This record gives sequence, structure tokens and C-alpha cells, in this order.
Amino acid sequence: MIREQAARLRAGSTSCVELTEQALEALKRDQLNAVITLMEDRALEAAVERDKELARGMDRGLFHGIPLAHKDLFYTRGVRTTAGSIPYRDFVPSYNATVIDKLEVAGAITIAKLNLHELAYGITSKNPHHGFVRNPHDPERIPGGSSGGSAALVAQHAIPMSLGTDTGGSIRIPASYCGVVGLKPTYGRVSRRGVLPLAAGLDHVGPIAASVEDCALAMNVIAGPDPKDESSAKIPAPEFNLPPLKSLAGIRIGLPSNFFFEQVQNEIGEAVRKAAREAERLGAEVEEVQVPEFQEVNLAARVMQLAEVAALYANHRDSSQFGQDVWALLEQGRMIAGHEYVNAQRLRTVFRREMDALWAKVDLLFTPTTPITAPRMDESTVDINGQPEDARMASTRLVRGLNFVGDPGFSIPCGRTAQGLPIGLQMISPPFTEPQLLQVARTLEPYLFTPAAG
Amino acid sequence: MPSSEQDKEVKAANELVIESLRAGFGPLTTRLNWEIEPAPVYSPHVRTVDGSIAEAAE
Repeated sequence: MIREQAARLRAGSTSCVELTEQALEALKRDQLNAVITLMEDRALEAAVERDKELARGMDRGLFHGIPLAHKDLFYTRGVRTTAGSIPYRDFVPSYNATVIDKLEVAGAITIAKLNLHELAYGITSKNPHHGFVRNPHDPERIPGGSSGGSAALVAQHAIPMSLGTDTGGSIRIPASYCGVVGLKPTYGRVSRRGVLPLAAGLDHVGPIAASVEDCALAMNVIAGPDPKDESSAKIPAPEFNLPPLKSLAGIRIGLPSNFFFEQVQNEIGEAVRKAAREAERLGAEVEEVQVPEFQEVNLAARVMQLAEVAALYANHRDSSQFGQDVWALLEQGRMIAGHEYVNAQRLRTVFRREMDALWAKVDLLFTPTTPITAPRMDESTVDINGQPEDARMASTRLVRGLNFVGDPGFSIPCGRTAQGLPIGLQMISPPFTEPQLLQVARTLEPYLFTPAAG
Repeated sequence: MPSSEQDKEVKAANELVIESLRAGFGPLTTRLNWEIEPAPVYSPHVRTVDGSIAEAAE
């Protein structure tokens, strides 16, 4: 979608102003409650400048003049950044997040701040202050979260890409529920400067996009060390947009024999296995593998997340400032003992070593992103093959562990259920191998069903 | 329901969540060995999460 818009701009069949006006109109017509703040004046001013630049031969690259909108967690200089919350409702940052700066330097035009689960602390995007974000495939269902507005608008093709954040699945869950792609990169791969934190040890920034290529193009712009972010990895960013392979020969794909396919809706498990068969048909070696006990990884990750978020909001003691679900999590976090937090950190090393041993056997794992499709707005418990499970716990069950071990996880649509709801395939790879992961995804993409929405 | 009753119910529900988390998490810590997985060391001289702790130890 980005390459197509870029080509139209260079061919003179559209302009940056026209593209921006169209995107702004789409967001004004938004029926999904996906927008918190429109940046109309600033966006149109920038579009005029980008057109002038093209006219005088200055071309910033593929993102030149492309309108984008991002989760309202990213600092935008002079424009309020609410985190979908009361404590930040009037917060106006004095600088841009590094990733916003990088995209704007590359020519992208920021047109809006998007709705999310309050403080990015939850997966429903039922925001009590800015309205419930709705799923474009069925407005009676949640879009997932916390980056719900981002995934909903990308699925509607209102924008080609949107930045999200992922602390326990908040990029991959909405990507899965809305039928778009979403990448949680390796921990430290993308700068978090100017992004409101949730749990600093687990927070990741990444793109939600309409296609694998759009996601890779975004990574080309946003990834890499940031001298202003002490937690960013000092590893230079490679080329992320590698061409599709002629064959997947030599690629070893693991299908977990434990955890990831247990307690998964039948249609979802079958769609993911079908994707693995497509990969095999293209030459990949597919084998069942035993993976670390992610049930245990999830427990340690929850201890860490609860404690870190409670620490961040330690001075916020007025429950009326928060939605009930977020307040409950903050209260639970205050109950975590110091020794439990420290031991969760120590367990990180244990599971990290177990993942390294796994990566000696396979190059990629294929798993479902979520064991269920998007729940209904009123559904707090879901049924998985006759077994009830809390909808929030089910949604995070297959994604949370990767925030703890730090490995990249990518969700890509791989089919839909008889009800027409998108199914997400999660591809997992070793740390700092996103280019190879995205290349395999791009090779496989034409053979996977992509659901349309909107 | 009076708000104090409601508060008690919410508190009890939160305690139940944490008890259940502890029931699963507690046994995991028996796998830890201080010589292999020491408590994380944070130093004002350590500026990154990745690899810097080892550098500081040297």
C-alpha cells in the first residue's frame, strides 16, 4: 500500500495534500471510535511542504507524503498525548518520540493520535474515557488491544501503517483480531524514547501494517540504536525489506508439540497447521518441537509486569482516575513482593537460555497468535472447545511470554473462521532476526488468506 | 451495595488473583541457582540492559 501510494505520487496522479485530505476524511468518518485527536492543520501544512519538496526534486523516499496515524502513547511535540487516560488527558509533550521524528524525517505525515486501551494496560480497547474501539469485521466485537485503534484503522485501509506498543501482546493481539500484520521486534531493537512506558522491562515499539512489506518498510525507518534511549540495543539496523524467496528450502520451521496448540479453537489450530503445510510445500522443513514451558514463562512475565506498572503509578492513589480493570491491576501490582520481582528477573535468564537451545534446532516457530478470535464486547469469558477461559487471559496466553524472553513475534492473517473472523498466525524467530522472519512471511503471504474489512 | 462492602469484595478478588499467581510462580523459583542466575545488578555505570551487566562484572 505504501509503495503504491508512493508510485502514484511520483507519477503525478495524486499529491501529498490530496492523500492527506483523503486520509483525514476517512478518519473523520470513523465509526470505530479509533481516533482521539485529529492533527488536521499540522498535517495539511506538512503535506503542502512535502509537495513543494517533490516539485523541486527533493525526495525523502517511500514514506514521502504518506499520511500515518499512531497510538496515542507516542509523544508528538505540541499535540496532547493522552494514553487514553485521565492522568495524561492534558499532557502536551515538548518533543517528538524518536520513532515519530524518524518517520517525519523520512517524509511521513502524522495526521492523528489513535484510541487504545487505557494506559495501554489491557487488551480490549474498551476505553472508558474515549469510547470503545470497535472491530471493523464486526462492530459488536473488540478489536483487541491495547493498540486497538491502530489495528482497526489499518484493517479499514484508512492508513497503511500505524505504530503500536506491545508489553504483553498489544501489537499482535489486535493484529490477529483485526486481520492485519503486526510485529513485536526484539527487545531493544526500536527506540522507546518519548513513548509513555507501561512496564519498562517488557515494553516494545513496533508497526501494525496492511502488508508484510509495509511492516518491513516501517522497520527500515524506525529500527536502530538511539543514543537518547539507554535501553536501545547497540546493534546497527539491517535492511528489513528483503525480497520474497523463490523457495523456502533450508528453512527449519518448528511446530510446538507442547503449550501453543493446547486449548486453541479447532478452526484456529487447523488454519495455522495449514500455513505450515504451505511453507512445507514451498520447500521448508517442518517438524514438531518441544518448546520451553510458556505457561511458566507467562507466570514470571505477569509478576514482572504487575510490579513494574505498579511502580510507575505508585503515586496515583485515586481510583476515580482509572477504569475499573486498570485500577484492579494496579492494586494487584502493589501486592507483589520485592523478592518475587527479583526472582522473576532471575527466571528471565533461565528461560532465555532455554530459548537459545531451541534456536539451535529450528529457525522459526509457527503458532497461533491467539487461541480465540475477537470476543464480543460483552464477553468476559470465552469458550474454547467446551472449556471456559477468561477472555483477557486467553488473548494474552500465546503472546505474553515473548515480551519476557525478548524474541521477535509477528502476527499475520492466515485464514478466517466460518463466522468470517480473522485468524492470526504467529511467527517467532531468534533475537535480531526480523529481516529473515519478514522475508519468510513475505514469501508465504500470497498463499495465506487475507481477510478484507470495511 | 454500600461502597465499603464493594471495596472489600474488590480487595478479596484482587487477593485471589495474586494468590493464584503465587501458587504457580512460587515453585518456579526452586529452579534458580544463585551462582547461575544471580539477582540482577543495576549500577549507575551500567547504561544498557543488554550485555552491560557482564561488562560491568569484568
